[in-house]
Amino acid sequence: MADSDETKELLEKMLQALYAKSAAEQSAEATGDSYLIAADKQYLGRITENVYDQQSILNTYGPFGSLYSSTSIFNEYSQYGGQYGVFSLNNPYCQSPPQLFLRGRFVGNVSANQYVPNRISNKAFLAALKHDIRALLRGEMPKDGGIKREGIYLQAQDGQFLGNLNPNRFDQDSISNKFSPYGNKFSQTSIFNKFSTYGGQFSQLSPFNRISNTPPRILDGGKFVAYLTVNTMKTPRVDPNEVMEWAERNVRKRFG
Amino acid sequence: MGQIEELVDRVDDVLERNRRHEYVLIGATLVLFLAGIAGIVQAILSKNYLWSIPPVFTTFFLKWPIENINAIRRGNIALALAPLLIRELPPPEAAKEVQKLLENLFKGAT
Repeated sequence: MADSDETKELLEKMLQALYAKSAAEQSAEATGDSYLIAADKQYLGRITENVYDQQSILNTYGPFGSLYSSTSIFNEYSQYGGQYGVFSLNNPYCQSPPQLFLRGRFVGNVSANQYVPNRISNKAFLAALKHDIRALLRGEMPKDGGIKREGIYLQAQDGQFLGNLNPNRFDQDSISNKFSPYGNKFSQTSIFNKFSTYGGQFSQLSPFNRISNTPPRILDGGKFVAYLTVNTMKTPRVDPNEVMEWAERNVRKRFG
Repeated sequence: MGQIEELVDRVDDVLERNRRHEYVLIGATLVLFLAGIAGIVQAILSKNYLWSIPPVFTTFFLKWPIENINAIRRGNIALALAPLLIRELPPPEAAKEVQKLLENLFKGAT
């Protein structure tokens, strides 16, 4: 088993060295282009719809999109993608995050650090890259939960997606799934976590705060349906303690 | 290219260590297999068929060394191929192929 690890380690190092060489050869001749660049001036890939472009940030076999490349924001062990990376967009304490340029113009700093000026949320950026790169290229930056979603789902007032109301316990995005990020009582994005921003008794964004004026909303394809709150002053509302039953009654047909 | 060549030079060492590990595993497989056979022979000779129970377990335990031997051999093929790819292809292409090798090798293989 140890030898197998050594084989893997050696191959990974070779791959990293190859990607580093490719990245050095292909670094930014990027005027008028849309791209991401690190604070140390390392080019981090082109923002393009063409995932086969060798410079594309989405090319999983390219130096900027591969999980194994040291110049990829998707490599969780690299300084540009790791949680502790000095120039990483995923490091919540990073002071010098990557910069996003669209058509050659600086748009913002992509970072998990909320205190960075001109911040673009890393989650929003990655979601836009994945789901709506055209909007990203147009400069329309979606909020965390601003991606167009189908069906009936919950959204916090700060834009955070809080899961859909599909009663299917195996749906990865459903609040009914106790192992999903939205149904697990230990998840920070679950309304069932009593200690989280979205589930705590005293949080303004929680459905369980009796006096909150900004509880999560139930949306149907983006259209408002009702508030999810125990605050009886808000109408229309669904009681969060009965949300499962409500979902059973109203949502099952939709998800089939 | 210096760093890549250093890594390529390490391939022979890793292959050598893999070979040694493989011999150990083949030895362990043989011991288990012979122990199973011995159990069956003993059962037949002594007509005491309780002796045929241990071979069931030894056969079951053969699974792990055989799986490991397979993993090591797959790794060796990849290790032998990688330097060739690096020498023959331009870096972006070589990286793509080495990544595919890695993914095929370690996706659910071990």
